Amino acid sequence: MKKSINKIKTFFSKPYNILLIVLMVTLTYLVILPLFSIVGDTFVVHASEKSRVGQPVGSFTLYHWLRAFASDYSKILIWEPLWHSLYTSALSCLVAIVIGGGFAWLVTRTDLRWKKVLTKLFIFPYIMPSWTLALAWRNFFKNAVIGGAPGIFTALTGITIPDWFAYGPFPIIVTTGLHYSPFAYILIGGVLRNMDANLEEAAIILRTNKLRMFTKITIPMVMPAVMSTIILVFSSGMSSFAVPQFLGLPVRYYVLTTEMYSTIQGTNPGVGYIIAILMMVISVGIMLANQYMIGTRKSYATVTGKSANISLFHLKKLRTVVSLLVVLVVLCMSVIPMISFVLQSLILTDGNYHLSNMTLDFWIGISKGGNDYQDKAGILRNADVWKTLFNSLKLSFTCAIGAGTVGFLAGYSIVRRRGSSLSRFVENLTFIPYLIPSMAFSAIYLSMFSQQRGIIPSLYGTFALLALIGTVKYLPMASRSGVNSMLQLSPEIEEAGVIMGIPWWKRMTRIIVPIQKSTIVSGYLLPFVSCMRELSLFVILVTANNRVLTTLLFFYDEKGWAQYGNAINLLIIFIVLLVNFVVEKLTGASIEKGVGGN
Amino acid sequence: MKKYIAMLLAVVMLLGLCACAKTETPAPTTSAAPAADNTPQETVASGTEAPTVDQTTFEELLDAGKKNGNKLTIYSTHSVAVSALEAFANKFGIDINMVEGTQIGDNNQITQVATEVSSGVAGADLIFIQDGARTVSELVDEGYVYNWYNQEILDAVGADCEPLLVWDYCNKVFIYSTDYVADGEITNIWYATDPQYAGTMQMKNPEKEGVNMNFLVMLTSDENAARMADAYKAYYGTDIVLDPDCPNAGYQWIKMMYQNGAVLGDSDGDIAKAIGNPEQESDTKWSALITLNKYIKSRKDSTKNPGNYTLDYVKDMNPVSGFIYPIYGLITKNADNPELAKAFLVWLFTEEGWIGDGTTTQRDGSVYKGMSGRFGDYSGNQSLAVAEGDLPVSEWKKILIQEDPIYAAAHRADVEDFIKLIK
Amino acid sequence: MPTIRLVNITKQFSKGSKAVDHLNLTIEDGHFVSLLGPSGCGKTTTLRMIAGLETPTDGEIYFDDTCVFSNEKGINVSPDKRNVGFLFQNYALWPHMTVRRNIAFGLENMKWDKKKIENRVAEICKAMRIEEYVDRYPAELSGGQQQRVAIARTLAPNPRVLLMDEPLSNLDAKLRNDMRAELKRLHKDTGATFIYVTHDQLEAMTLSTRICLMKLGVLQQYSSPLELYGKPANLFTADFVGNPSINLIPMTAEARGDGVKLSSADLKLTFRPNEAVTLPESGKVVLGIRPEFLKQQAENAVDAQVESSLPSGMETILVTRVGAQRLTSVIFGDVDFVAGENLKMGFSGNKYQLFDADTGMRLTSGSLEV
Repeated sequence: MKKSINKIKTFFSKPYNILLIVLMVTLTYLVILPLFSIVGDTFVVHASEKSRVGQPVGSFTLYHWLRAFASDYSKILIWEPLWHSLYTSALSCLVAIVIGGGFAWLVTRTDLRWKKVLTKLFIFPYIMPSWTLALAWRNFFKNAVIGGAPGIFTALTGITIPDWFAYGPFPIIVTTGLHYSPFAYILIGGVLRNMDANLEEAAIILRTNKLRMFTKITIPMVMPAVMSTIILVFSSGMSSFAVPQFLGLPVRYYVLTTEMYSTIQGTNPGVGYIIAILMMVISVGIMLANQYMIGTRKSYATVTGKSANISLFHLKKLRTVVSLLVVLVVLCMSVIPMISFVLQSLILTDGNYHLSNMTLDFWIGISKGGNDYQDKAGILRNADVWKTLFNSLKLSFTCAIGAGTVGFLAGYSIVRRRGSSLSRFVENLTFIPYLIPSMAFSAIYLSMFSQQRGIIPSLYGTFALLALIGTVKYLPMASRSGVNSMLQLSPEIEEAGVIMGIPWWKRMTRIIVPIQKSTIVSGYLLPFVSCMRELSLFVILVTANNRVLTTLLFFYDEKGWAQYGNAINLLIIFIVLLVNFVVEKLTGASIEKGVGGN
Repeated sequence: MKKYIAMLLAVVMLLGLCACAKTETPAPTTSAAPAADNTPQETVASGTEAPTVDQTTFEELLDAGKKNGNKLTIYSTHSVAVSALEAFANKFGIDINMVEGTQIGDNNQITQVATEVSSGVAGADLIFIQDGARTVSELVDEGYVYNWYNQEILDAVGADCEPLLVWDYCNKVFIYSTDYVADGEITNIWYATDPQYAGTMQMKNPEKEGVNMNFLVMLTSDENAARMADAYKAYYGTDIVLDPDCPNAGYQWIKMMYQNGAVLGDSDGDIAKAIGNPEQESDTKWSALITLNKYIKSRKDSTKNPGNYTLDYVKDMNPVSGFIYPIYGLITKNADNPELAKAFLVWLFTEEGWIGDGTTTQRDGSVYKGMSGRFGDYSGNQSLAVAEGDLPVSEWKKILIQEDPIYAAAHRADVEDFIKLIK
Repeated sequence: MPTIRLVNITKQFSKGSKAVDHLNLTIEDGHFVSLLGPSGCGKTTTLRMIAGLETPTDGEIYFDDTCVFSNEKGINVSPDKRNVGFLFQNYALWPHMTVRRNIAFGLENMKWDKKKIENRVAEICKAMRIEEYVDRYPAELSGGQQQRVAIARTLAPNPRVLLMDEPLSNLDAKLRNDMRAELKRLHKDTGATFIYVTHDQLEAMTLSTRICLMKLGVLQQYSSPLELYGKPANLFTADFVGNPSINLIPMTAEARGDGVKLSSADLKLTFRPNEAVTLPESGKVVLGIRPEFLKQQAENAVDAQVESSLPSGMETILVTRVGAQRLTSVIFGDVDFVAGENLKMGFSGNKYQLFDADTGMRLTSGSLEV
């Protein structure tokens, strides 16, 4: 008896054990319990479903499951959106890999011009919100389908854009693919750059021609990076909401996320929750597939070696042509969208891009007292916008502090107890939010926290709920970087402190934290920036009193106030870039280094 | 699982209890007017049936409201209600920082109000909301909001106090591009199903805006369906033959309209601009169903900026020229300050509440003008003048289909599902 | 089998330092030549220039009489046309191919027919004793096995010249010994020219027929291993080769008849050169004594005191002091000494070296008398 008490005492005398237990309890409540909650919600009649189900609110029903999987509506509610999601995500991967991988090859292996500037600009979309390119696309290629004046392209050229080009799968694939091509570039470029040049030299010595070298050596070598790109882009594509909302809805092209949004906001949330579960299942499936592939014998993690100067492929006559082409693509991805936002935020009458039609009113105009959009104060003078901006910053800051701190402590305690089942359990717990697509996650939290649960009151519509979900959702980013950095730090460093009798908190603040400064900062930076540009996680949880910039943008967009929407979008991009720049200058940590974390 | 459901039921019951406790506030919640069959009031505060109309006056309500903390929060789909609240506060010496009006779209507002009231989170005292179908089934039937009016309002508004108090009527009409559609060319609603107008008819996506869905729902009522069938014959010259999946001519029209490539837009304003864009070069016979208000603002002869779009609207269409739907003013069950909310509501039906008194300012310092000069907005108090050049509600009602929230609530899901299956 | 000739080869990297400086080297057919030197001496660069993986800045390279590189004539034969094999330090096995595919890959490039490839792969795998692993991926092999696969892959197309870049450096000590024997056997069996880069002087000594010792891009000595050991061209060579290192004692020399009188603060010796020698005018010389030539003996000896003794069974490395002068010697047999013990250390034989202290060049060899 005494022995076991002593055992427990010893166990809790280690701070990391206490941390692990606390994490286990909290995360079980915040991550596991909601999963049960959402399953329960698929068997219950919600207020908006009363008339269609014909039962009182809150009663048990199989209606949602039957409707989703065994009715005339299954095709339209589940199978079609599912197919659309899979289809657009898969092809987005292809676009990302061709563009990003191609760019990586050009930069690392050829004598392309202006490499330095081009790589900087190419990374740009990665820092921006995911819908940036979709919005820009719409600014350019808008046609009559959603009403409104035609886009910039038609205004300039007079050419009418066909529907398939303006809306639906094609633009979704292109914009998503382009947005994530920096992923592909960073991952594949990293391999190409660090790849042991000897592997290719060995092939040269063995008389391999250029084509065979490319197909049989270079491509297979970058395959692992390509695979991780695919996993990343595919899951991002599956969980992307804003892009299909902006570009798919006008032609009634629904994907899982937009279908879920429309059912949860509409008259059948039960089916929405089923879609959320479906999305989670798919996401877990992708992860398992990924792990299975990593587990196969062909895997080769150690492809890096001492990298000699590999000779660059000379583009010769094509050098300038190819370089200009790349410049064009890169401009289309980074600079031209910005120009379109600026233009769109200035014009009075849609579709008219003459200077005479431009005004700064939407930025700095004063309120004209009316109730139409052109009467409102410009966004820089609008108290609502400032309130929202402040709310956004407050939220991002809170989530960053929360996720960053918890993630670091989790990383610390997980690594210190590595190998124990407790540590493994907590590690998995911190990782689960990563597997749950943002919108599904917020659907879960909506179902879980819109009622009083035990001592926790209903959090619906509160800032606390947004902060909570943001913190939990971004925890994997921070905890993963925490784990990785702690793994590289040998325990002896802390043990040296233990032997000298330095207390735990002092060891943390004086030894561990200073050493890990840069990772810790990126553990804060990543959640901050992600939160700043997050839409799908918040869009169904935000209420009018708690809007953040992204949902305000979405709100303006739904109202058709394009000028404000574009101005807000620029504001978001500006803040994200500013934060990234400042942190990069101060600490050297940067977003790009965090690839794979998101 | 069972355990879970039991828990959930317990929570619901608990909420129910809370609800009962709260309704002891001095608000008379039902009306004296004879209830229409299947009235929503049945679910509201059972047992407090009062035979007489609330006789509390505006002054009494205002006093009580001021004593009760001065605080007032409203949600509204219409921006003028928000401005009006600010003017109200300034006019009656209420700290402007104590009132908060937030503009929220109908779908979001319904979800938000339902969740807030059911979970006891502090939210709005008073809401102004369109989409009667969902309002009835999700808010009124559930007891989250209730209909209230006093004698003053009844005197001003009359029949439109029931089943839900109408603050503002809005109307949607069919507009067309005067550049490409001849005057008098569109006279029958079935034009939207005619192949020669394929892909040219636009409306705001009914899945995004409930009132548009309600318009479609209303078309399927027996009475309207019969008129639709007659109009079909007038347009095509033959009796209508219904598809197997279409119960009546209303459904048939919806189906044919969708299949004829109806364009579903994001916003009425954008649609108007698209249709009347003088710079477009295609000769498409654009037309659309949008609010009169947006039409007027976009029209070329509009005095308002930007207004250089070449548009007109169909004044007399067989069988209906459009849709008229109310924005209702309703009080939430967990209102912190129902008295002030009621006072505000009463004031809104006065002339100065509707168009301002010319001096009272809003939060940003500009003078509150309310609905003055606004086409397509009509007070529930029909004695108030409409904008110069506009028709009074009574005239509009003759040529437009009216939203019946009770009917729409009952049939909304049917029509939504029907549309889902149209390819 | 070709003779490889490097004429005035210079390699300058962009940063300005010369990796290889006017290197002239003739590697004769069938030899096993080691390029030896400390890191940064240009040995790997030289090897890569021979293979064609690196382009020299200046000079010419001939395979027999065929010029494969000439800066002046603008010739640069690409690596695949030089018919060389290259064994990389980290093996450079393609991780995504099985052992079989790794080996067959080069043969396929040469358009061999399938049957022939199959036979050759089987044959070379048997020779390298890796038959059991042919269907494994490199990641599933141990370091030694990977090494064999790499050799098999390199040898499969029967290259005329086999270039090896520190191929054993990633193996543990025991495996390394085994592989050395293997390489020597291979050299004998194939009769090909081996050019071998290493920084391990012992490896170079044991394997090569000739050693090319380099320092900072400059050739120091090019000779057989024993000559390198016995007649080091300069102080660097003498010091670099041999373990434990040679004792180098700065002294003042004075010609005295047929002998040279050497003196330092602690030692006064007479050096009898094997051949006539011209002493530097300054008289500053360095006496080189290999540890094995400083023996524990009574005659022709000096008094020394034991400083440390490191017995390893077969031999004992003994450090003694004569005055302040520290001397290392190797005593054969299992003997041990106590620190502080007084010994007589003496000289015999004629393999003591005398170097010019200023130029570092070897003057002559000879015997020593106390």
